[in-house]
Amino acid sequence: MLGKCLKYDLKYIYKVLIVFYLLTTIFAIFTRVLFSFDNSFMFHILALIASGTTIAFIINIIINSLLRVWVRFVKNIYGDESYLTHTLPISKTTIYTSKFLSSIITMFTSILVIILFVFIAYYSKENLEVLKSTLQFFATVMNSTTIKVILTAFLCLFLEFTTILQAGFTGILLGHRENNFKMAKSILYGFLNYLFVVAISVLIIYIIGLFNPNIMALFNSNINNTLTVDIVKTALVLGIFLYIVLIGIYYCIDVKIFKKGVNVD
Amino acid sequence: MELLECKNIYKNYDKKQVLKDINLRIPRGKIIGLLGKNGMGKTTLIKLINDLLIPTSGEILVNGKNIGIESKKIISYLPERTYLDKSMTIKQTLEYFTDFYDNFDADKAKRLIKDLDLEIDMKISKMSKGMQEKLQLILVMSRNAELYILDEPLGGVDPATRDYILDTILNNFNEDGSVIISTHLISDIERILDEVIFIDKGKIILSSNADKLRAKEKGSIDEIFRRMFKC
Amino acid sequence: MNFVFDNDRPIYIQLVEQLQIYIISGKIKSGEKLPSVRELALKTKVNPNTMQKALVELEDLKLIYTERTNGKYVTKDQKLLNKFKDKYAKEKTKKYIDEMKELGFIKNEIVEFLREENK
Repeated sequence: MLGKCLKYDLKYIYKVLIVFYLLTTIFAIFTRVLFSFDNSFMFHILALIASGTTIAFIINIIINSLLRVWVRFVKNIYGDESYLTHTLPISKTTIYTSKFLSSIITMFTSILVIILFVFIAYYSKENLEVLKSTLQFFATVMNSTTIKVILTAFLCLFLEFTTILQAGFTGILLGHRENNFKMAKSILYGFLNYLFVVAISVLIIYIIGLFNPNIMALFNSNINNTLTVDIVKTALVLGIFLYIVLIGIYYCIDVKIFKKGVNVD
Repeated sequence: MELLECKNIYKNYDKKQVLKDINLRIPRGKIIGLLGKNGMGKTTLIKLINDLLIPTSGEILVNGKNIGIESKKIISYLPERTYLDKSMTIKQTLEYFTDFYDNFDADKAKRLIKDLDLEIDMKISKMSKGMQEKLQLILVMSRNAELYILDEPLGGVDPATRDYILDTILNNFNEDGSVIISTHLISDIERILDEVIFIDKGKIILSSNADKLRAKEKGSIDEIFRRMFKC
Repeated sequence: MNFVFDNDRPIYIQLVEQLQIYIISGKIKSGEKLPSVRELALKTKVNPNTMQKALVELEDLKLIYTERTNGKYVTKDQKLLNKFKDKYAKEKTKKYIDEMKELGFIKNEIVEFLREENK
């Protein structure tokens, strides 16, 4: 049943996202092509416009990925469609897990295609050199490889937005347990949730820092030069690990709240 | 074992009591009218049975078991509002029902849809409100369920549609299952009812066989209802 | 078959009355098979349980009988049919006369009315 739920959840989300993906591809290609004609002022202006549009679309994809997932959740769990959702012969855990997985899949593909679009639009020998050297710089500084740097960046972005999505889910679940101003309270709770995640992450890193002076260096801004590569690396790994755990905890809490049942208007 | 049993159901919103001590036993093979004015708790009760609301206290049993996957398999519910994903086509909606309900008879549904002259590739959002409601009734009645719960199926429909709805209900009714119809339009529907339940201000105030009540009170169910509530 | 109901009285009683008329008038012929309960219920738009109850009543009156697997048939007993027809005619006549008397007519006048009407 989870597979079937997931199928319909993803269909709903991607029906719109695919359009954005395609439009962005077109503008990314435009950007690329227009930049390749040099010397002409006209083309340069057009290229800049296409480039601006591409970036606007990329931001759009992020916002839409978030919104589409949340809208699906609210409509399907609390809107008119909820009358069907909650009367299907499937467990509450299955319903929620499908929403959770679809949110992760959505963010994963969106961040992936965004990186792809950046490459399509701006990949050129010179840019690549710049990028390469930048990445190389990070890679050498971080004592790592270029690929690892890209992967880390991808993972951080993906986890950050996935966490935002989960914070939103919990906000919606809590907001809809109230008797009035459900939407407003959902947004408020979602926002507070996210702040809470950030605060708790910093707190945990700080607590670990109490036992590990290297990590503590992150919090000591006056000791400038001690912020070594190793510390940043440990912090990153720790942060990634922490976010994965937090997403897991959020999932468990959400399932628990959801299993108590809903009060649909 | 009773098909449906409600024991001492209470439902409050904040401090407002919407349902008070509802006790109900629904046997098999009956068409039951849940009758009451608007806002008296009919829909709340139905939503509780369908897991759309959590009771403040009390117990609801379907075939002796609590509300859950098993109860949802055998209850086919028509809510007051249209609950279909309007961006889907009729065909996709049929697939959706086939995917989730083992007892959904897609061929029967297709036949009934054809009778309405609807194109199967039509988007739900392109259909009129009335057509959407008829489609929903077809979907609900095409499940081989044991308990059909229809919430205000006759609200604001023309006489032809009313006949269509009554026919569809009668056509699909069988002695292994029961149908609960909630309505405030009693005269339109009283002829097909076995049993009537009057609900007022969140309480069940009368529960009787329809013909026995007519004989005893010397009048139609509609009249008896009006006499009782002076509406 | 066309049924008209009045919601004021138990539906099954009205069904019995109206089916009786169809049978004794010969609109449903002696020995003819009746449609199934479900079909009859659909045709008359009443609850199948109510229709079933009405048919049981008709069966008690011996106007119809059940052949074990084949369904329900109208009785072939012509005597019985005539008896019901007579009974029905008497009831109607009595009702008519009572109503006329209510209006203040006497027996001879009533007979005269019937003769006039029948010309």
